[in-house]
Amino acid sequence: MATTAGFADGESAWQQPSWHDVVADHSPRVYRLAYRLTGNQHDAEDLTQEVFVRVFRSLSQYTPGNFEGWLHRITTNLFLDGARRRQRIRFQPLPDTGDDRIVGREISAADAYDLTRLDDEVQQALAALPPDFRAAVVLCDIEGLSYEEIATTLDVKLGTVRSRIHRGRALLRDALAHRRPYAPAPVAAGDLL
Amino acid sequence: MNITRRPTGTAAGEHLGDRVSALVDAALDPREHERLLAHVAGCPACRMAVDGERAAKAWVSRLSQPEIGVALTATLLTLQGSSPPAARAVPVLTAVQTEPRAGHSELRLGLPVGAAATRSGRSSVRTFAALSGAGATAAAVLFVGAAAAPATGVVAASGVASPLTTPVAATTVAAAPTLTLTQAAASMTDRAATMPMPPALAGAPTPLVAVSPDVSPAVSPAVSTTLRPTGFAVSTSVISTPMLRSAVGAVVPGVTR
Repeated sequence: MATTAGFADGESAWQQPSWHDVVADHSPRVYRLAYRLTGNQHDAEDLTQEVFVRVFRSLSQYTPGNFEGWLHRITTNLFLDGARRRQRIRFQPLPDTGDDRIVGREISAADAYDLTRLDDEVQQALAALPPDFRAAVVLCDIEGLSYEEIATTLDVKLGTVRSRIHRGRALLRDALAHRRPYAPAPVAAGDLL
Repeated sequence: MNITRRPTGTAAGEHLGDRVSALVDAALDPREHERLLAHVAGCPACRMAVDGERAAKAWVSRLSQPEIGVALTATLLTLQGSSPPAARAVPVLTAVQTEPRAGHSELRLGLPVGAAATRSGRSSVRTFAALSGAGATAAAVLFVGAAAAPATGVVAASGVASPLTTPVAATTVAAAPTLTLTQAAASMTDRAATMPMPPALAGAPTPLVAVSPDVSPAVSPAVSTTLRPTGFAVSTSVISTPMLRSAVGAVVPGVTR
């Protein structure tokens, strides 16, 4: 949330962007993030609108700085808020530490992917992740944020970011294991650890 | 770094454990990174773990990038065009340059802000219909596009058809050969097309703005070129953001916690 400190320091140097600049410059990126978080166009559009309502309302209070980081925070937090509301009954958050297991499989260079189908399958697997894990993975692999930036965005510790990304990717590998038909038997966690 | 190390360790060094993700993401400090890489070089199990991790990362990072729709962009622009009571006497005009977009060769009429609620039952659309203010405000969107256009200009205009208001003529800074026009309701359109520029737009080379449904791609460059000098001054000079902000908060308090 933007602070009321507002333009204390940067008022003279920083000019608040016009609304059309904000929409033109940032809505495509916000929408892409929203799409990968929600997994479908309808919810992505709703989330994007929700984000920009929030941005519109707070723009004049925005402290000059990392505007994209601010958008990441708003988008991700609104998504997680909504996901938690919808899933409160059945969503049991997985512990962030504990029984991590590595399931390593070999990638065959000969794998030829049907890219369209792969896209759908990956999106499906992504959408099946717990929202907390999904947000961390998307911010890392789609938005390209560092672990530190993700920790700031999600307001969690660095170790939590690590764990969520690791567990999220492990679930993705499981869900997409059929994509590597020649993979050897999974390495049992006990062999590795 | 607050890392929980696993009690691992062999002659070849410690296994990666859950650090495989941080290793692949280059999120470790350089010394640890190098040490783990050296271990991976001699440890088939950890090498497989790294390969699997890289595959998972690649799947996600190579996902296609969905494009935001023109209609949603127009809807977002109308956020500023909303006419709360405090700002009712001031029509709002915005112009924006959007991403290059190809394939919009058809002439499209649609997405009136006020009428959207009747076309769709989606709550978000209703939200924006509410944002547009009381029934006095109406808006229509006119999209005029050309295939493979290098860029698309968007003009958004909404106003209140009150006898006390002073409509501001629509302007744009779009230098693109294609125009996407968001304009107010028919009455507003007619007035905008014939009203002289208000003082705020002094200096504009053309006092009149021709905005009509039969604007064709062929004439768009001329229109946009003519209107270029007025541009962004409209929205920033005519309306104050705090005013809108407070008004939006009043209209949809639930949206903004």
